[in-house]
Amino acid sequence: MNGSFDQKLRRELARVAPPAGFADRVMANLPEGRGRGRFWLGAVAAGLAVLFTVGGIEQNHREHRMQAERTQRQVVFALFLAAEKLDHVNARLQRSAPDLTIEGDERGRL
Amino acid sequence: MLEYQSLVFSVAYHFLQASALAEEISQDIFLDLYRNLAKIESAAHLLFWLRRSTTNRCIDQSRKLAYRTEVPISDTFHPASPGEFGDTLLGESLRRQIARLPEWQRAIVVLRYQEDMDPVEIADILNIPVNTVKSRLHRALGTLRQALERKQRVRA
Repeated sequence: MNGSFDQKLRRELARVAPPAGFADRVMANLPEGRGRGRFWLGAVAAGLAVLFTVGGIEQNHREHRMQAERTQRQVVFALFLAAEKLDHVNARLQRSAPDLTIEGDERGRL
Repeated sequence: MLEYQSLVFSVAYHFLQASALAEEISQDIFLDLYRNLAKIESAAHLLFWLRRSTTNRCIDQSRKLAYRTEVPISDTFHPASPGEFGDTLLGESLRRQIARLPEWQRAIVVLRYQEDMDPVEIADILNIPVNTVKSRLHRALGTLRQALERKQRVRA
């Protein structure tokens, strides 16, 4: 009875094949779904990174350009101020000593 | 994966006697395996991991559903390699009795007779003492034998 009962149990509990398409369903749940999600997440992250990088570079360029323009304006203004002062000094000198003029190197030293 | 799907599905199917649930659990097990693949060290470790994970998952599931009160033996699924138990009714009766065993006894019977494991291996899988495996197996076989004999007497 024991041997026969053991055999019956083995037969009833023999391994069975899973329903058709089981492996496909497992595989469908494994890498593709998760991979696709990761792909889009990666794509969005990469897109944002490019956007920020380009935007950052553009902003940097704009600031540099504005700074250069400010500097240029300041230099021009400084030269203008200097020239005006020189002209003013020159005019006063001419009024007090009409024969005296400041030329070239002497103007630079002032 | 193809090599082990029959193992996992069969443990779940014999434990729960419901193909849809067995497939659901099997899919979960393979998803877990996919996540833990880096931890698997060898083919023997993989076999051990699959048997332990499947058995533990089945025990949890069975407790969750209080499964013993609703055993859906008459499932639409027909195993591809069915048992050749001569008397279908007795075979079904035996399966029904297995499904009614307490979770630990059921796990031990399935591992013993489906996977052909000895009590030492089963103890390792279930992480319980060998003597506990032996006593539970003895008790489970006694219950099944009595039920089968009763059924045979009724038919006679």
